[in-house]
Amino acid sequence: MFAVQASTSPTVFTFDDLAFAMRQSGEWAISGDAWRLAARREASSMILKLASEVFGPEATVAPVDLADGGAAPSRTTIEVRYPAPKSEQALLEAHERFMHRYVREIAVSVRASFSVIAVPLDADQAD
Amino acid sequence: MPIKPTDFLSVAETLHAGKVVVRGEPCDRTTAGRLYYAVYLALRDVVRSDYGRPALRVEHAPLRKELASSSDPIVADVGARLDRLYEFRRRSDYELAHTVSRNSAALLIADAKAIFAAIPRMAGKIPPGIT
Repeated sequence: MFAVQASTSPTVFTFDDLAFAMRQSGEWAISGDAWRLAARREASSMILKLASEVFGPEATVAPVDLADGGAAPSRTTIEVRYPAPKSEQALLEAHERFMHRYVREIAVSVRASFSVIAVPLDADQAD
Repeated sequence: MPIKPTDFLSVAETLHAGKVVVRGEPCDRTTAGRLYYAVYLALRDVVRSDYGRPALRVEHAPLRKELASSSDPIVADVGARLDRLYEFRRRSDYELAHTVSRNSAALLIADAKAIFAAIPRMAGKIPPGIT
């Protein structure tokens, strides 16, 4: 997939570039907001792959729909949810591994116009 | 765990009295807010210094967006952590039914410390257009 290539390429992409390239590939013969939705889906896939490697197979990702009351976001937020490790030290180490790899393997490649929020879930918070 | 608006009142009264706020979600939510503003104010100074404009009005959203979308990994890392801090501050202050856990607060402290540690390495790397 294009997004996987983007994550390993030294070329810098913007979120819109990603959407445009997917459309040019012929896989998505669509326009407007649908491009961005397709790009967001592809970005979510990249982030899920990384989160699964760092946090384990129980990690999930989902775009966040913001509730009323807060300031409107300037861009999409993709939330990663994962089971919290038992110790705070393990939690901190996993978080740092994720942040390090997210920034270097995804954010600076895609020039992310989305936010990624990784949320550790205690056992009583799991769905 | 849902909290009530009066839980914030209790935190404020406790702090004003110079007492220790007990552990719990109102404490973790308050932590998230103070951490976000600690790093926002520090990064505002970095931008003002880098631009040579000491009175520049630095808006929150452009600051996060421009830092997070930088091609420099140090700056992008700061932007990604600032995004997290902002989002948890927003949830902490507005979404009372949305759990903000002690684990999340611990990670936000780590994010804030990482940002402060990175600030000396950001000189000359601030993206243009943050206003």
